[in-house]
Amino acid sequence: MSDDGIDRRTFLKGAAAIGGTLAAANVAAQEAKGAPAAKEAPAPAAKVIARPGSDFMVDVIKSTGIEFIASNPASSFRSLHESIVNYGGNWKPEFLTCMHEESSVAMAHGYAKAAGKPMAILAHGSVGLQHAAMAVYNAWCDRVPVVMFAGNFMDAAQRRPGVEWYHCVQDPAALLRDFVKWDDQPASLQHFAESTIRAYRLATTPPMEPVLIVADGMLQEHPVEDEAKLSIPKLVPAAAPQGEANALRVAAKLLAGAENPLIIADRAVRSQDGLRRMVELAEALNAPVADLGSRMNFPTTHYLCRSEDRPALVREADAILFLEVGDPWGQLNSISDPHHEYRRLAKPDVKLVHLTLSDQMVKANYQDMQRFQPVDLAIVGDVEATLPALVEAVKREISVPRRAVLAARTEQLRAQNRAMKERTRSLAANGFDASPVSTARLSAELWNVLKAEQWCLADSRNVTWSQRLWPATEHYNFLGHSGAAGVGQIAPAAVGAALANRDKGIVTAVLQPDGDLMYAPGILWTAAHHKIPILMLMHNNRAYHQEVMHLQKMAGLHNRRMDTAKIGTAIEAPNIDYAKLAQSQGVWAEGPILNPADIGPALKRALAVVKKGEPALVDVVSQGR
Amino acid sequence: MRWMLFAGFAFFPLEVLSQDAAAGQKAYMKYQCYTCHGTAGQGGERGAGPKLAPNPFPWEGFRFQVRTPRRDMPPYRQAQLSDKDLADIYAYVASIKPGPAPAAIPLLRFD
Repeated sequence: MSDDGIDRRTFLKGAAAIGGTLAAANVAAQEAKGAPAAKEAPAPAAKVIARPGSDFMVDVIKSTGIEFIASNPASSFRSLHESIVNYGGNWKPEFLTCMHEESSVAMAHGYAKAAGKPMAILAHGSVGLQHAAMAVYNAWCDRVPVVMFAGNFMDAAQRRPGVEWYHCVQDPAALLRDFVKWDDQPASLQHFAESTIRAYRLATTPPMEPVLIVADGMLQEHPVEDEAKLSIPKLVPAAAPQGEANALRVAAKLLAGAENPLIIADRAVRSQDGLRRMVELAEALNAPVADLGSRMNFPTTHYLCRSEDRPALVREADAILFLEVGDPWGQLNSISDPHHEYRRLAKPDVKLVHLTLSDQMVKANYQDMQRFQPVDLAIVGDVEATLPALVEAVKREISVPRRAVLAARTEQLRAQNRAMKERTRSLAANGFDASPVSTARLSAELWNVLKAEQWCLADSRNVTWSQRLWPATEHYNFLGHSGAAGVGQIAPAAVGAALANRDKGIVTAVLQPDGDLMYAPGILWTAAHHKIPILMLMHNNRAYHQEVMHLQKMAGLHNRRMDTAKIGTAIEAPNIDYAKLAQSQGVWAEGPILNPADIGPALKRALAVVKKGEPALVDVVSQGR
Repeated sequence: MRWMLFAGFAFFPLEVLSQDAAAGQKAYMKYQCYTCHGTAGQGGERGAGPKLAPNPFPWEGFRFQVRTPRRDMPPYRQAQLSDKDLADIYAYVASIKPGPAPAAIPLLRFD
């Protein structure tokens, strides 16, 4: 988002930028007096600012432990950018060059889910945040922390005429305030320090969300006036909120006494310990678990993992425990499309418990809260923090005779799990050798190269076969999805996840939709430039396929032609060559592949590139869904 | 290619028996049945259509579902899709041969 023109570039060769701004002000004043400006203005080159405010800002950012700061460069944070690179040594944080602010935020989104901690982004307070907005909304809906800094010149008297005015804004956060947890516009360096530490803590305390701090341009560019008066507050993470003990006891009693309990988990856990506690809870109740997949909530190898059977389990359940479920109403009911026929799935008297922080982070405008679902017991708490107490409460409620009753269910549950897996494999086998390649084949081919690795699938929602078929036991295996289904998130979020996994020896892969990649394909260059190893397998169905199906529905509803649904929805004529797109940005790539037998060898070559520390892309022409 | 049905003869009225599977494949693509059900009738995931082949359900049920579908599928009325094209499409779907069993596909072994 550079706005530099010839004057700026010429000027920067010979002078500190701040000197120029002040000199220009002097010139204006002198011209007003009718004095010859050139003779009396101080020489710009004579002015040096050894300790700009932006250096202190870097000290603050470093104190949080943030390792990366993603950005498309922009003049409103030029001083902070320079301080990160030269004063901070471009290390913790390291500046990551992105080609779109949406990519910066989405990259931070994926990074946070894989790293378990946030990274930062920098953007213009106006046009940069406008570009970033959709990615921020995705992160908001996905309950993911992103620490955002925006450049802005609040003091109008200091702004350069022209572009700088277009790029300044009274209240930069106004655009995003509906979907950030907190924002501030500090008026001093001390204020910046305190607000940044506050923002970081707020972002990383469940419910986790993006935050925004405005770094005023003059605060960045002016010298630090009195260093001794500045201090950086200590960052101490807050303990996550735990569900109230009495409510947990009531929930435990209800679940322990149920004949057909069901656990539905969505954004429940975020660590291996959390995953282990989920297993402990399910085993204590011998209750099947339906993992909605926004996080890796339950091992797919466990006999109680029954995500594929969720509708049948909901119908049978007499008690359901929701664990941070974004749309509980949608689990119990359905509305057909396009006729909006309502159908209740669950029993009318099913007992419902919801352990969630969703009531703590709700705003009015955007409707991510989903339809209201009354429950029998609502418990405010972070699932991961509450699980130890909940597991203990459940164990206390189960007597020895009751434990025997629950254990007697095991063989049947194991058989049902085996049947579910067989059904899924049968479905995957249909059209296995078809061209365009089936999505099940894509998933199976990718598994074949990943199975010997520690692996992470950066988006596990867009093609669901992987969650349905792959044996997954680690919390970092499946990272869920974008949150708000805002298109263009998958590629940059996957690159962010791959960055987080780079030094852990975890191979990061993504089944990359074509339409998503084309929103901001410059993320391929970012991956190549920063040597971020990621294995991208294109799910290239040459369409915005969801929309093809919507057009067909509307044509049917209107009793009109059904064969025109690809107008405005297809990405063909010409077909995009994704291998060339990647190669042109320094990414190893092969394709397009039409014969499914060619995928495996190409993926092996791609994996070899990834294991050398670089990105690779294999383009496969695939079925719609 | 002309498709003749021998097995399950009793399920099908006369007009279906000698329909053209090759023409049906073209119609299947033209009317974009494949967007939800896949080019090989294998079905789609994430709320797309169920599998149609191999072994589609009987013609009367097939026709009824296409003309007056339950739930999310859009109706393909006669004004948009002729009986002849629909019968050809059925012939194509019925002509799709079963693939290998899951157990015979090494890539589908996940344990």
